[in-house]
Amino acid sequence: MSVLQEIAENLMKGKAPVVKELVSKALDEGIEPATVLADGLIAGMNVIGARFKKNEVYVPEVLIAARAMHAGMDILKPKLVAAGVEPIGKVVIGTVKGDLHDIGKNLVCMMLEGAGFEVLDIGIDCAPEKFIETAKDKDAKIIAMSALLTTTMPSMKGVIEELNKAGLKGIVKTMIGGAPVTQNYADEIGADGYSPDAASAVDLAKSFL
Amino acid sequence: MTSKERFLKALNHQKPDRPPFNFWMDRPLMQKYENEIGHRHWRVTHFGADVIETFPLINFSGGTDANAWDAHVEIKSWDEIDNLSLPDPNNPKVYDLIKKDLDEFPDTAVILDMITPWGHVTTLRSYENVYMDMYDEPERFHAASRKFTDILKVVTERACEMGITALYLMEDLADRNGLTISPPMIEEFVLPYAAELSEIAQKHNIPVMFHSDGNVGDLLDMLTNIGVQAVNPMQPHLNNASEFKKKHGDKLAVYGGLDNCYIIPDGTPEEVREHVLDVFNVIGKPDGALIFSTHDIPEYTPKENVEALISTIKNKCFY
Ligand code: B12
Repeated sequence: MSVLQEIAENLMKGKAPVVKELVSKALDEGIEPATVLADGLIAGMNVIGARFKKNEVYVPEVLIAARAMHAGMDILKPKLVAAGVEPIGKVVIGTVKGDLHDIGKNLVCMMLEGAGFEVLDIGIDCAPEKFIETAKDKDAKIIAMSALLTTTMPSMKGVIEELNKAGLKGIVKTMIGGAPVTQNYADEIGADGYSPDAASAVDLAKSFL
Repeated sequence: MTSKERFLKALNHQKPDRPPFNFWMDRPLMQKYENEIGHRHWRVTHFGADVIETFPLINFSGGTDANAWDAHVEIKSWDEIDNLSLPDPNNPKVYDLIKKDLDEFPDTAVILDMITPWGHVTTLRSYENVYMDMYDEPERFHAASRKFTDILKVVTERACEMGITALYLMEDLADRNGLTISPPMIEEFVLPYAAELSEIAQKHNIPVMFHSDGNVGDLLDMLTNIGVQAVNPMQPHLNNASEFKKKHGDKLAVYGGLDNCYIIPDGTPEEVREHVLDVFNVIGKPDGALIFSTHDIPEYTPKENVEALISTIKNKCFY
């Protein structure tokens, strides 16, 4: 097995220390950082995402895989920056005002990172301004919002309204998700996209690029 | 027929005179009704609901607030959990509410809400950590579950002796997409401990029910294996009712079945009526194994819809 395959395999098993070691090994072998990222870490995360979607793995497996990815990224990130590797896009993501649920949102973050996005995670209980200011400051073209409570869903609409007021309609795309959220709701509030799980959230974000 | 008889008939797949019912709302809305009507069990006294969910006044994070899902827990490390001073299940105060409910409502089904040992560990460790703990710290997870189970067994035994109508185990193991943790993990970390509580109830001939949100299709066989007789809430947009009835209807009754997301809050009273009859026809018939309940219906649900819901159950659902 090549070292890149080994990285992917161990990432899928959630073996963070092993992944970290293997990433160093791959770099020592002279493999380009971008290749380690794409064919090692991202490759593994993609498989986990696909399996999660099919209910072959569950939340704990995704969390430990993501932790392993982060361990690898700790080594890789400085090399990527030095090599001038650009993220494929920037996403501002947060859980909306009044809502403290973040497990699903964190999974979406991890899958997005795993797919090569730069993820600006603004956390939980985020007011509309926080989404918009971060997007403006960091020049992100995608805002992703998570809500798990029927009572906090309307806050998503608030973000979209503020965005429109700021003249960013169509320039910054919005995507929404979380247990009570539906495609219908996305249509109703004028969000650019909805997806039911973390793996398809990646496809959705890519469709905005 | 008393509410309790009605409830037990439904659980045992013997048609009662009409389906028994209960319902749940967002807490602020429930508080509003309670304030207006002036009784903590206003659903029973005012609307004729058949079920009271009672609970032990015990809490593993200290205090006596029993609802682990509402507990605000500061404890995060395993060391703290291992050294936690545990509540005494022999403290008579633990049973005050159960006793009060049973004494005050002898003809109503008084069921015991019981968060599983897994849920107690989860509350203490927090959901974020617990999902990874099952990989990282399985021994400590089991050790804590063991301690909590031993306490909850005493509580269950005592409550059964006091005469609860059913034991109602509760754990959220699924979300809209299906199970949140894998079947082998559920079999290892959740069910063995839940089964110990279930066995106690069964020994007393007291039926066992189980609550999990979400799409629970893949959970049902595991639940029947530990003696569960009814499942809640079976949200209709996440679970196909006729498929359920075909595959599991001979073994499981439903406590729930009603929508809480679309028709009940947003529909017309007429649509609510149709929905109730629909659920009744698909799940309630032919054997009567349906105790109507809603998962939390939102605060903005119109009063007319609540009234349409209840009057249809009481006046239009005939076997
Ligand atoms: C864990 C949990 C908690 C934890 C949260 C811990 C944390 N750090 O997140 C705690 C205990 C703190 C909590 C608190 C509360 N909770 Co809570 N909680 C849950 C629970 C059990 C699981 C949620 C979860 O993590 N699911 C797993 C993840 C992976 O799924 P997910 O979030 O849906 O995410 C997936 C998709 O939706 C999607 N997705 C998510 N976000 C996004 C974003 C984008 C952009 C995209 C594209 C996709 C996407 O991808 C994810 C991965 O596939 C649910 C019940 C359930 N089984 O769903 C209740 C639940 C969500 N909670 C609920 C409630 C009511 C509360 C409380 C009010 C207290 C209470 N009485 O229970 C408080 C509110 C606190 C607050 N202000 O937010 C209700 C909501 C009911 C409603 N109709 O609104 C639920 C449904 C339980 C219930 N039946 O009562 N809760």
